[in-house]
Amino acid sequence: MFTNKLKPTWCKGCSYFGVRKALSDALQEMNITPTAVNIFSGIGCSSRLPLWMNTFGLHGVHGRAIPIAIGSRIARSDIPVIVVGGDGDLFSIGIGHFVHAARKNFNLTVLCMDNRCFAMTKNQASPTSPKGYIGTYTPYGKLSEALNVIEFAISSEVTFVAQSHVGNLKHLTDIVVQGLHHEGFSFINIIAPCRLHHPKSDLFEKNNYYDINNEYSHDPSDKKLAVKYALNSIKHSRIDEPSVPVGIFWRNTMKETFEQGVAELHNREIKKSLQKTS
Amino acid sequence: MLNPANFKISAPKIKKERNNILLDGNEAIALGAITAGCQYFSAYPITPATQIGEYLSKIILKYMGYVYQAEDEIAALASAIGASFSGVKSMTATSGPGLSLMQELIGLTSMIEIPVVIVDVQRVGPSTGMPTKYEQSDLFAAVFGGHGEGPRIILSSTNVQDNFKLTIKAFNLSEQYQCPVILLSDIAISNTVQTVHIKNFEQIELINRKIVDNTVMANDDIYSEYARYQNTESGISSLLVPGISSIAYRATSVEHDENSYPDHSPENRSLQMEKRFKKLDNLVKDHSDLYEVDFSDITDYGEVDFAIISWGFTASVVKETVNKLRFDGYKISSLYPRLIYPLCQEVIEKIALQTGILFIPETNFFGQYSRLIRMYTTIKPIQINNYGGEPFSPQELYNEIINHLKNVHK
Repeated sequence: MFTNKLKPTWCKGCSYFGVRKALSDALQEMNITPTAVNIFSGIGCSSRLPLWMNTFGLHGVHGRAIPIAIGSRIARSDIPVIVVGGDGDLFSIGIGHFVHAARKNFNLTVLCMDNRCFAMTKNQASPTSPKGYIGTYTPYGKLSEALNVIEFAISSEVTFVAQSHVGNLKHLTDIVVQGLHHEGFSFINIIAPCRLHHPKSDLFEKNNYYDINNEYSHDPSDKKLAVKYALNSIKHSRIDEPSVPVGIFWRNTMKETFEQGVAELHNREIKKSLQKTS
Repeated sequence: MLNPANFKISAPKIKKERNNILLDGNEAIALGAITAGCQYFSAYPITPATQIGEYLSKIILKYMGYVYQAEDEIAALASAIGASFSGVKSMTATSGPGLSLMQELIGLTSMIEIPVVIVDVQRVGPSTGMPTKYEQSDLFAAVFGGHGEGPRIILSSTNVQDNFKLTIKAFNLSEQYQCPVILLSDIAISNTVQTVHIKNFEQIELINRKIVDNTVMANDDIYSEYARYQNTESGISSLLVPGISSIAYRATSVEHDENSYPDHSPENRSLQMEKRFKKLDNLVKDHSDLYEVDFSDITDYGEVDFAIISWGFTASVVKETVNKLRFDGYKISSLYPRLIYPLCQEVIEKIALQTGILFIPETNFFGQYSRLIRMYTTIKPIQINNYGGEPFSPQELYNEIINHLKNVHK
């Protein structure tokens, strides 16, 4: 219902087909009208996703999906907005925009399709690639550690921080639904390994993930524990190392969204003008 | 939520009998934006454009609009694009350094054919330059700044009145032609307080984008399409807006076909390139109010002593200089274009045909408008350049012109 007739140019068996299905199913479950939702993306394999949906969308320039989304949210707060991007688009070139939108708590859902590399430009290291990663610009191994996007998101005051993976579409769809439901900045990191560049990755193994909510009864209102689980998320950042935590790490429903602040200012203006005329 | 499309003018209370107001350059832009129906403004503070956002932020809430202070110029323009994509008239304002940052996104709006207004209040460059000094050196950046080739319209103000009028015009043009419009102002105009004459405030013409609304129904087939970029005769194809249109599309920065699907075939690429550019074919012809021509009465070759073309704040100086020279007995044709690009070629050639001497004084190093004319015509203007960071004075320009004329006649 939410996908269009075009054949995606993703490789056969690409993890991203799973993301597209989960997003489509989630939108279906939320009963959203396709012509009343915006999906914004930047550049990269991940960012091509909107092209193969039938909603409104803008496949824009590298790293700038989030500020484009902000304009849409302020101008038309009646239109829900989803941002999709890769680990490069969102956390390399786009990382500055991520922080500002997050701390202002814009009501957006950001899906990072994390394959821990720059896939479209044929395998360079990305911020979420582990130390030692062999990419075409780092043939002797990436010097720096991976960015822990979960910890980063929690420090950036994101009010809904979650992680899932394409190996469990039921879990992924459920997390996306909860992210869409959340009124505020929702960030969902989706581990989606690249079949072309890392065909033997252990991240394809479903047993290498553990569910922090269902298996470990983590309560997402516990920020300290959320950070603890988040730190675990990077310990296993080597492509071939197992055990990645998934689930909802942190959720804060008490923070006002930016759009609510804007609406409040407009309401005050309306009250003022009514008082003048009365 | 802001009000998309169909904005009704109910701008600041100006008493009916008063149709002159005192404004500075930046205030005039802010007032022009509100009058034009701008509902979303986003900017990053930068000298000398900061006050545009300041003035707007005080009044825009009354019109259910919003001023968003972005984290940088890239985010400012990006959010204006997102707001415009979602149906709302949007603007950003910056100076030279910000314009440089925005180039990639200006190219994006060209490619996806979304209206947006970008104000550049010029200052001395390059780089940080002299933030509080005057220059008109961003013409090249405005016209040629982005990589690749996409349609843009460049306007330029000569005074505070222009700032008000041309901001409205910028919105009208960007809505009509669905492309970015850059309005070049400068620090001299920002710091000038002048009377702005507004006759018939309520009758100012506004143009809104053509939208396909929900009267055009999607097919029962879930794969319904609408040719958002259909190759119409004018090149202008109607917009689809989320929550208003019954059919959706995904704008894409890659080359696309009429349905906005990626298509890199040579045939499609050539077609879309031509479609985007032919939108501007009739612009110069249809908007002759954008170049102020002051032909001498004499139209035969040789009867005019010289011609002069000037843009930006310099035009205001040139007008005084021309008055002085006419008083001395010189016969002069002058042109003060507000439309910098596309070039008003015919008018320029007409002026140049009257005389062999065409002066173009500019406060920049290259003589940017002069170079633009050389690109498109065989005219060889005489450049008078000043790049010390201050405007010409009428006396200075007068002396320069007299000297040149003496040398020419030797």
